[in-house]
Amino acid sequence: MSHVDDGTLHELVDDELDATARAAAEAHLASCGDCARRFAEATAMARQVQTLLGTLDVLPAPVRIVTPTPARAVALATANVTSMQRRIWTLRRVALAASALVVAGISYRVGVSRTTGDVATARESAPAVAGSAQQPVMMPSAGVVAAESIERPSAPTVRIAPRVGSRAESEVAAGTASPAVDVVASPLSALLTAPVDAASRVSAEEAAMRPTASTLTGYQAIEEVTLPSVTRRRYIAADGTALVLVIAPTTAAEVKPDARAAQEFTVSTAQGRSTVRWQLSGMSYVLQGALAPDSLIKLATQLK
Amino acid sequence: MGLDLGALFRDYHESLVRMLTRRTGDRGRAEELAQETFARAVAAPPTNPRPWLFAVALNLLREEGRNAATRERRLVLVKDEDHVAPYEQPDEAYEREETRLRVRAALAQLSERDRDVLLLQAEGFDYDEISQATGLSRGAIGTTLARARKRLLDVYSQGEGGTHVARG
Repeated sequence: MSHVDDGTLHELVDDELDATARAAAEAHLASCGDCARRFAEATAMARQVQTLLGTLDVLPAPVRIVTPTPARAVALATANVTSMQRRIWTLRRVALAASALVVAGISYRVGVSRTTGDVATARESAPAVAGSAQQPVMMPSAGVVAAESIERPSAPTVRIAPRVGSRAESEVAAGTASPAVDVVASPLSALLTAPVDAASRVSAEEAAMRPTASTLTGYQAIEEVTLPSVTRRRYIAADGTALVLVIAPTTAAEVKPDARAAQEFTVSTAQGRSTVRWQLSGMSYVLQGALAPDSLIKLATQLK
Repeated sequence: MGLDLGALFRDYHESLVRMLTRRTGDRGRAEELAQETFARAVAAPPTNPRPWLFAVALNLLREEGRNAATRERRLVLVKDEDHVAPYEQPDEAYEREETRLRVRAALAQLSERDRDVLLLQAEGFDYDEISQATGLSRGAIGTTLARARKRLLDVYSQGEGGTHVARG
């Protein structure tokens, strides 16, 4: 047999020869010192290349905590909307509407609530917050407006108080729960310590629209904003990673012709944040966070 | 056919991002390309996912290379991803970076086809899969790899002399 060519040697190195060709090549190598040496070289080359390519790998950056100041959150939400519009897959109208309402929600809450008083003040302010949420008088037409309203030097404190007549309210009255918690304008540490109860201001109507599972493993629901037809819920994990879930009714325009509901996730990323969308029982879900898409899908699966 | 996107991510995402990072030198960009690739898989579920995903990713990369506008916004992501491992000595970091730059330079010397074949093989693709992902005939892959490996190592070792001068 003539000498083994380079291509065949590398096929042998990579174990890609069929049995016949392999036997022939090995028989030759056993009797030809030159080819045996070239084979050893090819083996070393393959290994060395693999090692060198490994040096190009960039380790995943450590999880970053996105400082959840309202201005930053709005900036991200706004940036996401505009950049997602450029994506190759369709961003549907309701999702856009939902994002806009997220912005509106943040703006509204920061702009309106300025109470710092005692229990009585908190009680009075609660229905005002809830009532205004139904009529968002400060509803901005664009995220930029919201960002401006939030970035005023004296950022007002937002107070979330239990709804009148709610279980939480009676607990406050009985002195078994804190009357109100400052949330939105607080730093991350305050978000982490905010009791879940303070955020659970959910109407019966809205409750019917919630996902079957209302919690995510490892995440704590820290805030919920309910606007007409749209619910936005923010979750946070112990490591500071935050997630936002927006739930809105699915419009006729966006119903998928072959809707297999929650089995179908649409994934997109922008500005380092991933977004997963799915539909289920007439509702449209958008889950967003600075997590790898596969992790986000895992969490979305919990909400199905 | 239903597409189990979760399984697809679990099986191929890491490998795809690694390959694209090696190919582009930019992990943020690699992540984005991988996302676009998976988005396309959702739109048109492939029957043979691995070669399909990598072929689509490499095509996206080529398309993107022709579109300077998209690159602009990706530049923002690069800074976030580049970092030095904690507790690494400056010397170690320097040498690691030096090696990385030389490997990148050597890889850039390869033809696009040779580079793609090399990177796919490094991800554990067998020759059939490389053939499916690149359109190259199976019989040509051994020769391509022999040439690509040799060239990469040759160019890499040529760079060895000059870098020490720069260090002093």
